[in-house]
Amino acid sequence: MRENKFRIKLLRWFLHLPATYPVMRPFLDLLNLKENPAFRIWVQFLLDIMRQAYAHKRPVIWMNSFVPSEMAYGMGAIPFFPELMASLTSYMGWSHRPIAKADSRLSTDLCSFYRCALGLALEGFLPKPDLILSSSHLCDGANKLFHYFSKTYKCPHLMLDPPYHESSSSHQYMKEQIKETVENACHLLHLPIHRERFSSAINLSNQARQYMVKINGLRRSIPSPFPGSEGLSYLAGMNFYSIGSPWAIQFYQSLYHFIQNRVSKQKGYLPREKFRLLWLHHVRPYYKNEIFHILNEREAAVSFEESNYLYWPSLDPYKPYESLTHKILSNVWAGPIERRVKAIEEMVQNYSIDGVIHFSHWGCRQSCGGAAVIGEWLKEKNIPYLILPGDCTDPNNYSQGQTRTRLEAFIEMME
Amino acid sequence: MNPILDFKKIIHEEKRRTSNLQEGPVIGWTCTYLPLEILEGAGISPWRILPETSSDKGDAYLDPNFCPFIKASLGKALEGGYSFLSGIIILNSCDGMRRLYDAWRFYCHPSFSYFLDLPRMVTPSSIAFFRDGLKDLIKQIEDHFRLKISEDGLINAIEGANTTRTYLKRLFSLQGRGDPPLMQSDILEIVSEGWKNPRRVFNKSLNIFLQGLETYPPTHLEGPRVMITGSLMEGSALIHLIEELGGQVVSSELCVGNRIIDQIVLDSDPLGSLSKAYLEKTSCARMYDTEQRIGHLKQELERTQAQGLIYFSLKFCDPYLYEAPAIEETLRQMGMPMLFIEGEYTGKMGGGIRTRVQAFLEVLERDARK
Amino acid sequence: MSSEIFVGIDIGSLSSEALLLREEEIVAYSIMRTGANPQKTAAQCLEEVLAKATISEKDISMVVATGYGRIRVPFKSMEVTEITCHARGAQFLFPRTRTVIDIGGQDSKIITLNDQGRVTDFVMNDKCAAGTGRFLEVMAHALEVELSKMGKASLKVKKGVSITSMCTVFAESEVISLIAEGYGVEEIIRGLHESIASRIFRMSKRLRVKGEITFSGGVAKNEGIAEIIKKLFGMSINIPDEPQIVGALGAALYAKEMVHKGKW
Repeated sequence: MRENKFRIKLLRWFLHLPATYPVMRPFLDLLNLKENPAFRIWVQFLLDIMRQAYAHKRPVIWMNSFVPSEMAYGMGAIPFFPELMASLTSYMGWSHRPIAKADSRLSTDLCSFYRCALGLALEGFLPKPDLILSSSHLCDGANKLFHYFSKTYKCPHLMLDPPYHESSSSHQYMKEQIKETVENACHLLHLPIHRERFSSAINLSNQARQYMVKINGLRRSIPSPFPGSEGLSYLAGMNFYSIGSPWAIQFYQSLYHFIQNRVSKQKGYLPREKFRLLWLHHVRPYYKNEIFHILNEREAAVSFEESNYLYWPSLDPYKPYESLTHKILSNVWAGPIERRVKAIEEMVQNYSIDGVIHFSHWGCRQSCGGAAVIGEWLKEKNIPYLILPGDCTDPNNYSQGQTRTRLEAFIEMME
Repeated sequence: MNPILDFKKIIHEEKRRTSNLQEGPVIGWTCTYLPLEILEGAGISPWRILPETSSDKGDAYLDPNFCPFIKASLGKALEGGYSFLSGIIILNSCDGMRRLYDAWRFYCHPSFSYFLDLPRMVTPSSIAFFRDGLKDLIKQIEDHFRLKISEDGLINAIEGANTTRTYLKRLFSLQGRGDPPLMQSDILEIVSEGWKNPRRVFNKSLNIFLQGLETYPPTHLEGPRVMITGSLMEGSALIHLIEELGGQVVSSELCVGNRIIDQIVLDSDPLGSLSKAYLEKTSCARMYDTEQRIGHLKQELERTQAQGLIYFSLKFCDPYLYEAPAIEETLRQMGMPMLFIEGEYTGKMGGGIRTRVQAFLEVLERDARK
Repeated sequence: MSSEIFVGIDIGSLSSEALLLREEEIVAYSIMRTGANPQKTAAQCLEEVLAKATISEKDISMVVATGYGRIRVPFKSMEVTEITCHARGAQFLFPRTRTVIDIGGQDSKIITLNDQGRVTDFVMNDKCAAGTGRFLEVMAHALEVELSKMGKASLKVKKGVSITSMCTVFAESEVISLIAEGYGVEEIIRGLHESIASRIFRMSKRLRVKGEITFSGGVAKNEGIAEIIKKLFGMSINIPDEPQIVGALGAALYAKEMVHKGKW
């Protein structure tokens, strides 16, 4: 017990130590056996935001995944993402501990990303925030939990509250909110509002977007050049957290060349590809699990995933607030289900999809609540559909036998 | 003398006596942030969707980890329990309600359905935005039902609703001053009649009932004083249970309880008044400002001299489950005991809950003796 | 090659079955508890069924393993999920089957299939064992009734007590308190059966159920549950003479198909 406490203290100290990050880089490069150079950029990006957030040379803003990251980069603050930390913790096979820690405050029926993030905060692993910013359009929990964080760390909490419908009135309301939020945030953090910096963040966002368009185009190739399991981890991670920073461009450019090279050689990520699958929901389990192994074994490629569907238009750098309004309001996961279904149908067509898996992350009402209705649409078109229940960060909610049976039966059904 | 039976008798009598009770369309609603005045101003009868029992018919269409109230509502709709409705209005209250709107449209095909957006913040721009939403709602109702909602109609409806509010306020103020002639569970049952009966009838009946209230003997309550807050619950089962075990429920800070608007102050823009009053009403956990809720709870605990708080959340209800730790912390700092209950949407309170409530009341009693 | 022998072996969470198929004929089968060591149980099951049919191991053309423990069968040639196998097996026994309800030890499933016996869609219960064979076992224990007698007992009454909790743990305590409240054992059993059947009926709403329904798995032996399911679906249902071997039969049929198609 005492030894354990010591280890926790050591780890906490290590995370907060500025020297940690430059020291870790070459190690991680060595460990990094992926042939894909973009992955290395992802690791560097992670180390960079962690280093900056722990070093705390500039104001740190905690944000939930659905706040457009351009906002933090445009303000010149350091963004930090508790949900990202939760998925990394889970990836390292350590999430059970912070989750158990959070059990004393949060019901076990809530999203494990948040339970894990709260546990990490309670353990003192996360860098101190100066401001907390959340957006409510895809998750009721974000608003409430991020407020609790702000109480815990005694710092202000601001929220974006995107409207449901797209209309001129909702545009107006959203734009005002973004403007007020940026002004309030800058005021609270004593940051000057730099129009140029904002424009530059939007510019960077657009440049990344151009590569994303190309990458998504390349991923239509048969066989699938890029594994969905990675599309759901670091590719989705860059999509959520890096847009608006120079890292995004480096990353997407590198990934584009990597995939282009594969496509030109007609090389798929699987030795043989029998089925092409579409993965619904933004996320997947990050702890050790068999899901993608089973699919690979059965030669079923996850050709595309909903999290990388590009829903927003190209943005106008000279109208940053309006641009971000467009980006938020065009999100297909918000608003009526028809919008999400339309995007799914488009993906099924574009990526020559044979079957669709909806991963139902325990505790995610907005996504899981639509799974049945989506199924009705797909079944109407005779597209095989599987609802796969599970949990992204809490390994206790993962049933190995059941998951295997569901996946294998689904593939046998397509055969 | 049973006040509930008496009240129901009064309503029955009033209904019989009131001539030309309109036979207009009935629209179902799910969230108390909906200004009913808009419907009433159009001669439409609002009907609160609050199924009596849980139904599992909806389970296949929504996820297993989903709000039991929402599942019960969809279940009842699928069973045909809402076939008398001419339409439904669902608000953007929470993630669950958005999905209920999708599933209801997809599986039940209502002839009129409207999704009203609901801001989480209260600012001049959110009030203006909500007002725009109300305006659009009016337009959609007018187009669909081929009628006109006049400003006079709206003003009349607001005045009617204000009358109800005055009466309800009197009813709720009976609590927390000792020797009330009504138990809290009685009050909630009376309030719930308002969701099923025409405003005119309800107001008149309430008026008659309140005038006769003095004749009831006081209910001598001596048990610990408990306040209750939390998410929607079915009927007053939990409150009944607390009272049965000897506790006094001095305030029910719930959307089926006393979380009601004080009065709507009319100005030249009735729609604007509605928008402002509804967004500013005592808030549900779905709103942004947790601190405001905490402030209100503190005030209410003090006003009613409650000795403890029972915090109820429906299973899978994110706004209340995520809010609980902040409330718990506040109460701990105040030195006020709190009992957290995560429950199903069924009239039954299981044995486990009974034991916990009883133990909580025992703690409050012991503390009071100290 | 009329003497080709195909083996299907189904290692479930509670019970395991092995079955020998020659042409269209079920030569022999064996059923035993799975226990803690599925590898050993699989070997014993095979040994027993070979002994019953007096066939030696070298005469076997192919072994297909299915069920929860399928990956752990050491001597399998191939593994196929119980979902595919139940569809095959049910269609072999009742060719007009288009829907299979399978309630096993820890899982319940509903499968729809086409006229070729191929799966078109399926649903499974979520992670808990509510309403499965294991659930019934625990309840039988709590009520001190033999598992095999529950079906008949429940048919003695017209209506059951309503059971609110389907969680094995909570239902057990609920059942015990119902006894204390003076409800008859038959009514309680009927209540349990009603809740299991309605759970299945609800699950079926996720699919497009059509055609004849075949009920397989150990729980299909319970005539009380079968009766209620029949009423809920409003049609008669097929129940195999030995509902527990449908999975193993399907696996053997799968083996046969593989060999005949030259895929093995």
